[in-house]
Amino acid sequence: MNPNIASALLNLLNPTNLLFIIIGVGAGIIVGALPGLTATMAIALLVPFTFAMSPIKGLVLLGGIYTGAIYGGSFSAILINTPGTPSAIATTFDGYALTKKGEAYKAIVTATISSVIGGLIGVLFLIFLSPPLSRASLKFGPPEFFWLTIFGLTIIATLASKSILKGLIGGAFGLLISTIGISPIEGDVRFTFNILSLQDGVGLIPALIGFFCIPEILNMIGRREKHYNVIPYRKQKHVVANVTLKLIRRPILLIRSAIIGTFIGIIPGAGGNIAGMVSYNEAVRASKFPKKFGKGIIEGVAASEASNNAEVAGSLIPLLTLGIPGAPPAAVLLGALLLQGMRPGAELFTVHGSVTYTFIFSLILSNLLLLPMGIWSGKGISKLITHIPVPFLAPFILFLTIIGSYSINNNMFDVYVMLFFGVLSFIGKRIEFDPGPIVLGLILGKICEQGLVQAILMGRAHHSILMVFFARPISVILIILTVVSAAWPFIRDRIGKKVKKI
Amino acid sequence: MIKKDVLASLALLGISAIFWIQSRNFTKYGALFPKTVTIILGFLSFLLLINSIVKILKNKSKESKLEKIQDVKSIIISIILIVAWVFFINILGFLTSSIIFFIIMYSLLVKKGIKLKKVVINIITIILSIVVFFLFFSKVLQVPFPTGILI
Repeated sequence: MNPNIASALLNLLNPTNLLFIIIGVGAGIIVGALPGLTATMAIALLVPFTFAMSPIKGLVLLGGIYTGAIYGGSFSAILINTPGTPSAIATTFDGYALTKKGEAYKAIVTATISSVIGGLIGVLFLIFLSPPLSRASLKFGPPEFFWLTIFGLTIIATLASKSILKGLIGGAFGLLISTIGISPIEGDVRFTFNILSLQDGVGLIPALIGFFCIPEILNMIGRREKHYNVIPYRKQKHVVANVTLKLIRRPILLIRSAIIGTFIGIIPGAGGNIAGMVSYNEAVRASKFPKKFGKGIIEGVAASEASNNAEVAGSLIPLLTLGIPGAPPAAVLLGALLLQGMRPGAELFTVHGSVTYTFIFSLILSNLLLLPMGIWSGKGISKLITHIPVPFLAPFILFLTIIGSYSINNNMFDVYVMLFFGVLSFIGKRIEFDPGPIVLGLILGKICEQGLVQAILMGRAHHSILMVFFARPISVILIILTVVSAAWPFIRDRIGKKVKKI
Repeated sequence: MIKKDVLASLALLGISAIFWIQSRNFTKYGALFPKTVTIILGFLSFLLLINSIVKILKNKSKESKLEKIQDVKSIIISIILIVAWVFFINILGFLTSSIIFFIIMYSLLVKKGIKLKKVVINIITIILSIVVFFLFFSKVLQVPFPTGILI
């Protein structure tokens, strides 16, 4: 056995690590269940505090929160028809319909079991796909990294935004912010506007906290008067056994949803919401009774939940191997990795192998923990969702955003950065500029610039810049993928129109 | 919505112009990437501008699908309060300014018609919980805090 795997398994038996996983999953479920608090936000708020912890404790905690929060989103989706996290949008379709029929408990049990199975399948992919991919990343030179970032940005612009143009603008804007500070190649001091603190560039974590937390809190303040009609949630006998049996008889439904979730997770920018929707659609298409969907059948809940929990592990595959986050929460996890001095790539699976594998295996535990924690805590959570104490919660989260952004460098300037991007992101969201592409641009900017400039220098040395950019096999694949993903929305519209004509 | 797009694209064009002017003094390789990005950003913003002007001329006003904010006033007041809070942290210290901010924020957000006795109890709870959290973060987690004249 790989010695890293052996030591990772030992690390998992460490009681403090176990405790951190349990705390992470529990906190994640609560955060995910509360409408307005998302997984991304919870991870962004906690990353600064993991800085003081050992890498293993910090990462297993964040992994637990990520897993718990994506699952927790199903509670509010099922009970009050409001997805607690964007990932749970497709869960509302059949989940809330079940609740209206008085079968909320059945829906929650289905969500729990399918989340666990979906999550575990996703982790299996993570375990088996990551090491070979990370070895492949060793073959990446500057031109490949350049094209990889371009591919990541195109795909997020086309997938994550309502308007492709606005998505692309967001990505370019993020790239521009990333150029603030000292340039990586010739050491120019760029765009600091005479502010000394900007010489180091815009802090990634303060910017992430601003982009992902402030708009959510302001929205929460803006809609605080909302009242939810709650249908009482009661436990019923034999439901767990019945649902389990029913789901086991439909293995393809869960496996298909989990595979869709994992692969959508791998695609940069496409997060759990898309995973849930796609796999719900596929479940409807494959079903013998498509008309029953949306009227409250457990297959609908299972498809969405298996898929969005598989997406968690899927989104970590490109993150750990190439440094390209597969979904917004993974983008924040990248911040946590970098804070601990761990650079994504082959090194994570060799030098930091013990930590990385502990993190990956902890996700198995986190997923298994959903089963008891989700089913037992259902009642408490259903009460919590309907009585969100906004007058306490909103200032408290703001309190955490300030401590978090200050504590990384003990610098008030980071707090100003957080606030600036927070308000900017709130305004941007109101005019349909999604923070996703901006953040990805900010993260990928440095890699993109280094790739571009170094590739040009390489080309100079070989007397052919074009050859360096366009004639290397991995680059060619990445270019083709970029073109396809950029053209995809147009192709999709064309196909849609043709289908309508028929 | 579309008028806001015009404003946004003009602002983005302005940002591109400022960054373009600044990048003229950089070295060759230091300027390469930012210049390329500003050109792309400028071009895309220009497209957005044309796009939204064409839509205005065609009178195609599209309703925003976003959830309407019910309480714009609270949001604007909150933003001002947060900025004031951050500003006062350096003067009053983190703990003091946070307590003041929490109390103001609570009175802003709390539902009207709530009993005075309950408000007082809640405010005392807020102060106590902030102090507990402050001590937990600073003493147990060893998180550094910004300080001012007070703590």
